[in-house]
Amino acid sequence: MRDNSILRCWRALLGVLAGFFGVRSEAAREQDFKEGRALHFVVIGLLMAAGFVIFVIFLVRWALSLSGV
Amino acid sequence: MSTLDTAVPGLHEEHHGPAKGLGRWLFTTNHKDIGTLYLWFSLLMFLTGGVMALLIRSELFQPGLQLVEPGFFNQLTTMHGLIMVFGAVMPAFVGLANWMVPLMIGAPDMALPRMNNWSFWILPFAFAILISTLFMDGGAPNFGWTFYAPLSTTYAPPSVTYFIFSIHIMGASSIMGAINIIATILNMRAPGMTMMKLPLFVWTWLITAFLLIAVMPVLAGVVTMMLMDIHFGTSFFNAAGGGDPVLFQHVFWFFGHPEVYIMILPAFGIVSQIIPTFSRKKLFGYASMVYATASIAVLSFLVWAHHMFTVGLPLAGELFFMFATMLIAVPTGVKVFNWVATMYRGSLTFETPMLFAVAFVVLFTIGGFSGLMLAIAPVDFQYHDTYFVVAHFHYVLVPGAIFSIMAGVYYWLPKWTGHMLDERMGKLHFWLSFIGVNITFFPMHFLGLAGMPRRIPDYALQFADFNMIASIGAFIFGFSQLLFVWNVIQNIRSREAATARVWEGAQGLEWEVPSPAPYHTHTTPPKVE
Amino acid sequence: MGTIRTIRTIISGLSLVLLPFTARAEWTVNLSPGVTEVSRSVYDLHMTIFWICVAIGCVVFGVMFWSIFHHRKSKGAKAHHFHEHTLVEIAWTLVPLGILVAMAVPATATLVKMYDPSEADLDIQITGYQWKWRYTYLDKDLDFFSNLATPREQIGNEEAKGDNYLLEVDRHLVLPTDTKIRLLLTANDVIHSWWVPALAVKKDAIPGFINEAWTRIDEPGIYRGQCAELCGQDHGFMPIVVEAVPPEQFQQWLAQVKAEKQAEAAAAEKSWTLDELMTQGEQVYLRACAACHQPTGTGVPPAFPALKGSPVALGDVGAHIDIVLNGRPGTAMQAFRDQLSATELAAVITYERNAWGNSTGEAVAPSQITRILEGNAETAGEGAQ
Repeated sequence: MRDNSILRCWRALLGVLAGFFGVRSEAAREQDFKEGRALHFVVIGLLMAAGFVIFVIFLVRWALSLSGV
Repeated sequence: MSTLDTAVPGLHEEHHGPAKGLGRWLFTTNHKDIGTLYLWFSLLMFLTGGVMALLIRSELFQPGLQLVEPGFFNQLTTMHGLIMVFGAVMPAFVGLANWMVPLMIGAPDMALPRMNNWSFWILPFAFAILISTLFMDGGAPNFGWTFYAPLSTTYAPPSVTYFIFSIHIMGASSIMGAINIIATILNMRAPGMTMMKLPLFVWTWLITAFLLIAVMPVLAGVVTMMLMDIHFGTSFFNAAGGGDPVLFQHVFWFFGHPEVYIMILPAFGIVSQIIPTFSRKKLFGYASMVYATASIAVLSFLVWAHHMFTVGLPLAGELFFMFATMLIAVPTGVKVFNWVATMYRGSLTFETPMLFAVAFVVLFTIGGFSGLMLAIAPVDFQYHDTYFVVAHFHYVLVPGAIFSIMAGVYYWLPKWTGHMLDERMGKLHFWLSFIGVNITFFPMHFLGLAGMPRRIPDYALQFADFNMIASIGAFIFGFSQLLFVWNVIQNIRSREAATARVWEGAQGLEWEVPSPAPYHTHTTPPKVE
Repeated sequence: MGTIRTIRTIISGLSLVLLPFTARAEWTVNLSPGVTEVSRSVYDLHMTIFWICVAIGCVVFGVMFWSIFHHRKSKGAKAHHFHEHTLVEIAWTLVPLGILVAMAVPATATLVKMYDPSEADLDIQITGYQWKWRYTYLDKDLDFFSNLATPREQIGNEEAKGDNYLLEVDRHLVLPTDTKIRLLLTANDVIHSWWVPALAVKKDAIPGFINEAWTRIDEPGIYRGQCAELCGQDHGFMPIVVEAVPPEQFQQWLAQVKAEKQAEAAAAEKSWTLDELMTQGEQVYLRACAACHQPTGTGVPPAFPALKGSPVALGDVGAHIDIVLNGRPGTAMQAFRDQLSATELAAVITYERNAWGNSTGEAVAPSQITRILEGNAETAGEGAQ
């Protein structure tokens, strides 16, 4: 059971990543919808959005430190 | 009784056919009637906003003040924007959703029919209030559709309070519409119509509806803060009282940027229905399209300040919003590639809906390119608040959102009326619109780059030629929309019967019901393979 | 990009037909590279991103038009039922992503440069007013307003339009070349935006806040711009004119302006006749007041009340002076104490009390205004303590 739910979360994570990237195959999508839970996708999606913000903030800091500001 | 109903389906329909007279429209809870109401209302607003656009373009036909006073000019640009965004584009999409979502998912009606009626019928009142401000002392709102404070608070005409009230009503209407669409899609699908079989139009609308619920309260919040500043002595946006005028812009664009996607995601959905039909091929990368739409919706909340590059954000802020904007441009580009790949090696025909859809892809992409240019913050200092921006957002809204609505209307009209379209007239409308729209808005790129600011009633002489060309284009485009009205009316009165499938390559549940669609459809759930 | 070319052909064709009817003017279809280092890098960025868009457009529209012409049903094309190709999809995501990253690098560099106003040799404060700009040369004891100079007859089409129609002002912002100049922007009423394309400077002027920008002009010349943020009725009529001169000439100009200011103060002390005041008052009125109160004094009620027959213009002169000097808070009526000289203030008040049938016959002496201004300055100073 435990493994199963971890696997599910992992799949949802991959799905959300693929969404941000904008590419997902039909077979993978079918699996997402068969096995995944909508709630997993929503929660992971929001977390990833927060992660995206943090990623861009670090990008900005890195760019600023490179240009010596 | 139930056995009788199933045995004689016709009987059931006759019992519950439309009521007669005006009462049918006032009290209707039928999704088709309400969809029709939304669409007619949106057409009326489109023509009203269009008349204002033509007045604006007439004033700008030549340098110097000819027709209107500068104060009234500002009222015109403000009302044109508000009416087109909240009165034409958004209700048209809600109307299409009302008509098509239940048909496409095999539901007998919307989930909340009474609220459906209410959400439509408060709209005419909202716009009656908004338009009545034109006749008030001090004139209509004159601070642009983005109504930046303190021009819209301390320095606003008295009619601003009516404007705030009407925005509240529009917001309530949109939220109710969105709740209804979500409830319908999540609960009313026919057995076997799983989420992964939903047509893309339904998917994009589902995501749009969530966006609406998320941002309309923000808009309501910002106008309420304005109301407090104007009448109750607060200083949210008044620096003299410790407030911050830039706060207004942050809150407004936190609503405004997702709003941009609210106006374009359903358009993506419509085009994704039409292109496969006339390519006689499945949509390339359906799964990617759904995922990309969902992620665009989430990320649209993270880029609002790219509308505010010149307000003096700190350097880190500028960089954040520039990077984020550039990154989310990619999934949008991917959609265009998907449509092109769908057409590639298909079996293409070019009926009127397809022409509008193809024009959408081409011209929306041009709008996307200028959007990409605007995302580069240092260059945006030159583009910001010029005609380059006007060209950009008209390219994504007119040949973007509006063309997709027209494509959708031509595509589904035979299903609504039961009559085929006069293709010759449809094509005439298309070509006049296509030429007109480009003559109007393409020269605006040049005007902006040459240095013409937006929202000015008069301009320096070096802008004269392109303004004249744009005005001529506007008149071609504006008057060719009368052909659209003519086409719709002729179609209703026509005798040429349409088949249930209407288009050779059409796929989906909406084409399984007869044309015209009976007053009640899918009363027993259809079978979905 | 085929469409764009067609559109351009159509546009140029149309304009050839229309050219005889239009006002003679030069055609500009692109950004100007400008006259500063920053403006040139902005121009280069603009051209790079433009050509990237053209290239992507060629590929995308190329494939599309190929399909449109060759994969038609009427040409017997059969649909190939392929859909999805993960590799292709990944490729067409990664390629644009790479291009954008490549764009982000120079863009960041330019932006960092634009955001470094340090080590400036000259500070100018720019204040946006409805509908004029005020320039304060900090530490130079120099402060003036810059108003639209295009005559109303040209705007109303009663006269031929001049070459710099709507882009000319009564007082230029004179700046030295080859000098790093820091611009401090703020506003008095609503948000304005100070934009001179040749300098690639556009920054919002926000009431209650101060924004920074900077420029270093390479070539002497006159550079014109406009307010870029909707700021009310006459948003389209508050241009900006920057006159860049070599540093020595700038010093001469500073000295000359100071001398003029002293002469003006002396003139305020002489005695003026009603006629003299009326003549100057009319000019001042048309420049500073007529946009709202209208040349006929009838105003645009309720926002801009009429002066003709108004209780203010016909009533107590002290109250009238007070409103003109200090404005009416919460309305569009501004304080003119800093905008006009004592002579101009006296003249315009006299004019308002005696024009359009307002015949009070009263003249307000410039020296009277000078005294009020001096007195108020002291009280205002105490109030601020």
